[in-house]
Amino acid sequence: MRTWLFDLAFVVLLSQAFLAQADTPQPLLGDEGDGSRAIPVHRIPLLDEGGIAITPDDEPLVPFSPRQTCAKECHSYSTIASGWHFNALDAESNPGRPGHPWIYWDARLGIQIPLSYRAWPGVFSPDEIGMQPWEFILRYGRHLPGGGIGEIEEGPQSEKLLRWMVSGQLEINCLACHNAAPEQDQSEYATQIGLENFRWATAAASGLAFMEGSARAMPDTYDYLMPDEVGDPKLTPPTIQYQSTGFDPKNRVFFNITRTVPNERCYFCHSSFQIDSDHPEKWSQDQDIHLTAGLRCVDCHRHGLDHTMVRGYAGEVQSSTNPLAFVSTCEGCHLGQGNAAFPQHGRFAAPVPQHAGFPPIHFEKLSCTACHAGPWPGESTQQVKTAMAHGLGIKNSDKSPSALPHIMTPVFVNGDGGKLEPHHLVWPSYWARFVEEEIVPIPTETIRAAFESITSSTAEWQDGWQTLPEETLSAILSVLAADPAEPRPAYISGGKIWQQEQGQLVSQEHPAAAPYTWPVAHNVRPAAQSLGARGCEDCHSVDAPLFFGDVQVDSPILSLRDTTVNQVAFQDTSGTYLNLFALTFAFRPLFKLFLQGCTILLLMLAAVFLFKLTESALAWIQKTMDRQ
Amino acid sequence: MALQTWTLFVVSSVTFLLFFTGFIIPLFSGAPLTHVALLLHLALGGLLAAALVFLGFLLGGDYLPPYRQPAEGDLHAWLRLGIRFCFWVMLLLALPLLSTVTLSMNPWIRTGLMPTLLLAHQVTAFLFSLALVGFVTLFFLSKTRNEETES
Repeated sequence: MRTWLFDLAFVVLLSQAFLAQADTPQPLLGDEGDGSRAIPVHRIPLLDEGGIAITPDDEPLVPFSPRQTCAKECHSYSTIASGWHFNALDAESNPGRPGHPWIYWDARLGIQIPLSYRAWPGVFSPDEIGMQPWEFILRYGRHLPGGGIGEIEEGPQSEKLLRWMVSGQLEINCLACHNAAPEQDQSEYATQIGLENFRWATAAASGLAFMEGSARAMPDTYDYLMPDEVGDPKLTPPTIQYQSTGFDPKNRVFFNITRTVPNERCYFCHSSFQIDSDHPEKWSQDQDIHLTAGLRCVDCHRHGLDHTMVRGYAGEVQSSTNPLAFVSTCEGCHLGQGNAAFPQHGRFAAPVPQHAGFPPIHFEKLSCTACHAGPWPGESTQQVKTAMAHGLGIKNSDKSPSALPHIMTPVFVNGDGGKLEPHHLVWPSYWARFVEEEIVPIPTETIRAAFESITSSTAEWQDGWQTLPEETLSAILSVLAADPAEPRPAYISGGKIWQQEQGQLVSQEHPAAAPYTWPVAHNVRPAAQSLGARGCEDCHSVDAPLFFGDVQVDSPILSLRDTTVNQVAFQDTSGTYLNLFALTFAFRPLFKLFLQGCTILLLMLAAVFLFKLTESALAWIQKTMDRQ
Repeated sequence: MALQTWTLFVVSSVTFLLFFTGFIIPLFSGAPLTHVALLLHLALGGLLAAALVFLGFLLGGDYLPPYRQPAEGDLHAWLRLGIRFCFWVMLLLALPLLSTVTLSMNPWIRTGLMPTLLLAHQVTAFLFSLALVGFVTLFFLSKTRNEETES
């Protein structure tokens, strides 16, 4: 009996062990390195969405799927998909400090609103403005690396379900970063997204294939595996052709894959361009000093297979699983950790800063970036265009300096840990309703209908906006308030909330109208161009831009055009104190002289005292010796 | 005598305020000296420096050596010696007290040295305050005793 029980227990344990092993994904071929820093040559077959190898003679030719081609046997897709660039939708992922949002804008409707699927304070989820994943991809897929929202499976109730089936999912585009071939064309990728050719976009951008046609033009019943003749000869179904020379005799293709992603790949999504009338061209603006010194973006922004990329900010270490989270910060490279078991500073030959003459309180009150990053602050903020916000790098991007959205920079804000740091800032403008004292944005379609219902012959364009005179604003609010069943409407813009009270348009400050800001980490300027390099007066003067510069208010409302707010309004300190403190620096040289004068006079007194003391001591010794 | 008393009053009250802004406020707030307290501390520091120089020249001549060893039981002589000792200790401590501030305002001082200067400033400030308390106490004891003797 006892033996039988032991046998049974053994069998149960063994089966449990097998089941556990089956649940744990086994590492794939490329998941674990052997330590070699050489790059494996990627001469591999192209696999379609079904995992079947593609040959140049296939009929019809289908696009290769990165999920299959890269991940079927070599790199665990689900592990990679948990990485920073793909996990915005994952409620379990840590959003970290606020970052660059997507910005939805409509110049005619007076809308400029920061969006993100991440839970950053001050941003709205696209759902909140009625933007479905389909529309999100169409609008922002141009600068998305695929995955995440691109692979969301919308339910059968979705209006776009059939369109998703026609266009396919937007899988993670591994090549967007890892393809070192100069043919990699992310602009083409953006074009294909616009044409709704989601499943074709990666192949079309890779330089291995050419695309024609558009899924957008195809009916809901279109099946790319059985492309029937389309009735209208003007409509071209999405058709892919591979380069005839791309395949070797074994029907494999060569991908120029690199681990050390070139800066230019990062730049496609992470470029920013200062709108500066003195330096209107990108060649006249310097790039980050680290890049000039020879570093690459990925030297600091590193990750392993899970793509949990180091973002590089000081507080990241508290939440990141990346072991390099601390040493990849400014302090990590330049100073190291004081109590570390071995020296950590000096990575990448980072110089240890001297900061001669800087009282240590500066390091408690300021982040490194406050003095070293972003544009040199001027009397007024500048505007910056970014790839994500302005679609830089894609065909037909708006090159006008006034193109929406309007991002102001640098704005000095108390960020992580209360330290002052430079931020980009966007003033939200949107239409909303008070729902139980909460401000809830009104879907764009409702606003569009309200605008169409009023005639605005006096509409004037200024600085990228169709201006909104207060009469028009009142009229729109009246239209939105027409249905008494709907909560009270309001318009948020320029840091204020505008609403009608007893037939009058009134505005007031409101937390919901607060601007959204996110830290500027680049471009880092050299030490000689950092705040304080010319002396204390860079910051401690009554007109120092850091505290007393103007932040432009951006709004389509006519009465708010050309208004500004002081930088100090965004800081946890008093402007009066800063003014007083700055004034002391005018007297500082005199004060130093005065103290030095006092010290010299006291020194003279002390010298006389010591002389007399010595004299009397010697006299006493002499007297004592004489007695003896 | 009135001038001496007034000067001592200024030095004492300014030192008290400096002690309050420099030690008590940071102790209770847990933060380094900043904002209005810092401005007040700096302004009062200048005033103290001037008052100390004035006091030094006012009393220094009288308090210079040589000193006689007080006779046993001559409390008045001991008091006078104590006053002189505290006076010169105070003035000697004022030198590092002021120079740590003037040095830290110079851009050629490395940031790493600044916490050391601050510590030196705090230590000398504390000792200076003790010496001043001793000086003022002995000064007024001596003055009271003189008045009692005269009456």
